[in-house]
Amino acid sequence: MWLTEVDAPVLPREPVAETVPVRDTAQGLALQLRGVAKSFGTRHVLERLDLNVAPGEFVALVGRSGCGKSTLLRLIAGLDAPTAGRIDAGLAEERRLMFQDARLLPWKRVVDNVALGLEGRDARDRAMEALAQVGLAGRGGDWPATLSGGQRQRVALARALVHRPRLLLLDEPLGALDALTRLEMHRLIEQLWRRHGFTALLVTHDVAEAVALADRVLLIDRGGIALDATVPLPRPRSRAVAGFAELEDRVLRHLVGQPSTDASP
Amino acid sequence: MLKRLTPWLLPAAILVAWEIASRSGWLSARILPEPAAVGAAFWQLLRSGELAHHVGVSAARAFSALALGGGLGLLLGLLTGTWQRAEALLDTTLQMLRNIPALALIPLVILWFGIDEAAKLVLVAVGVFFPVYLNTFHGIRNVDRDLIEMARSYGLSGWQLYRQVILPGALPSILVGLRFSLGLMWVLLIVAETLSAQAGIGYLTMNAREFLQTDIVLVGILLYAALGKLADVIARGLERAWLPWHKGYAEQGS
Repeated sequence: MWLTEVDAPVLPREPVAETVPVRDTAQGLALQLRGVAKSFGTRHVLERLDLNVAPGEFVALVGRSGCGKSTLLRLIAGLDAPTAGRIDAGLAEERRLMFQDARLLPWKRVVDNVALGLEGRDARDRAMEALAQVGLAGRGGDWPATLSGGQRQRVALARALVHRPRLLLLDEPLGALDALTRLEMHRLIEQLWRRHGFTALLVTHDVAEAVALADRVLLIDRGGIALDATVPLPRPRSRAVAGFAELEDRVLRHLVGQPSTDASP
Repeated sequence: MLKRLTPWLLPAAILVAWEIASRSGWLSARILPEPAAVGAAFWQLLRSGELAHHVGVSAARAFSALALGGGLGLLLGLLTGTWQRAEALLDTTLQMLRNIPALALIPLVILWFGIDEAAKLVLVAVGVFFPVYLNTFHGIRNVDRDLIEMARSYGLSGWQLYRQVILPGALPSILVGLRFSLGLMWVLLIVAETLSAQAGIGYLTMNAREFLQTDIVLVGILLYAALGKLADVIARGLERAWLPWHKGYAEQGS
């Protein structure tokens, strides 16, 4: 019961201890895509895409706007059906999606938004616990309209996590936030990912964000995976760490179509 | 305090000017009796119990017609808003009927229902039907698709989705329709009661007209104004009670 093990609200500023126990990735879901294609009319967005993600892995999808990274995420989330190919992403209730906009129901109080789709007598208590985990204990009775953009995304994160997903899909959830709030959200997402062991798939246009959070950065281009880069940096990562800038630069070069001659992984 | 009094300054000034004009003989009592006389007539009607009787009859007519017409409008609006098939079947017909003013139906209504209660009920009900129907339909159709997609991906479907997402999303629009209907309701009721009635505010005023009792006619007119205001207060109260989350209606510092 991951919710009962929570001791205190996790504040984003709280530094992550280096002595975090080895992650239990059993909660995570293995994701497998075979020959996945998606077309809208004559426009082929994705073509014969293969992808394996290990349980508990954190994978970031980057690419230009319109490259199909969000389409891929929607396919995995089951919101759209692929034109061809097979997607093995577990059951619908095992995965949860965080949207670019928080998509909170304005007519439900914060805690009831988090409890959306939950059943049972303890639904409200579980929602309260999840809120505490994203540092919003005490805001449960507020209307979503009174929250800031960052707070709304935290509520959306709590709403996703309260279902104990084995696969968390994040569709540019931080795109509209200011730089400081983004950094706070990075820490929060990383912390919760480490604690709960789910598999995470993050779509982002920000290469630095991808390098900061992911085990693997995938570059989507021309309907396929153009680059699959492992990020070997220790966590928690800072941009000042050696290797961060090089990796970011490498992905960026691929992104603009000028891969460096250095072919080492 | 001053802020709360400001809206009442103009009506008070008009009343004073009116009283002065009547007393100085500018205004004949047959055209417009002085406010004091209207007040006296009001007091007399109140004490004799006539006022309560007529207001009760009129209000009962108005609200039963609203329940009938508005209820049907809500039901059909939910139906056509939710099911494409119902829209295909019903909407064109209703859109055509919508363009007929309810008052144009008076001759037909009298032929069908005579000049009894049923005629008044039908006339008002037809009029209040359309604002509720149209706003319910559009409210359902304009619920944010993204929210519905989100709710589906969180496992909501069927009645749960309807109750937790679609209905609350359409509610602001439905209440706008209700408010329009409340306004229309009194207009139509006045016409219906003026045509023929044995009781009600319309009967009270038409009867007073026969005997040149201008003061009672004025009491009747003012009663309609008061009831209109009451309906507006009810509508606002519903909005505040049912849409506490809405920026437009939320009370400060909740």
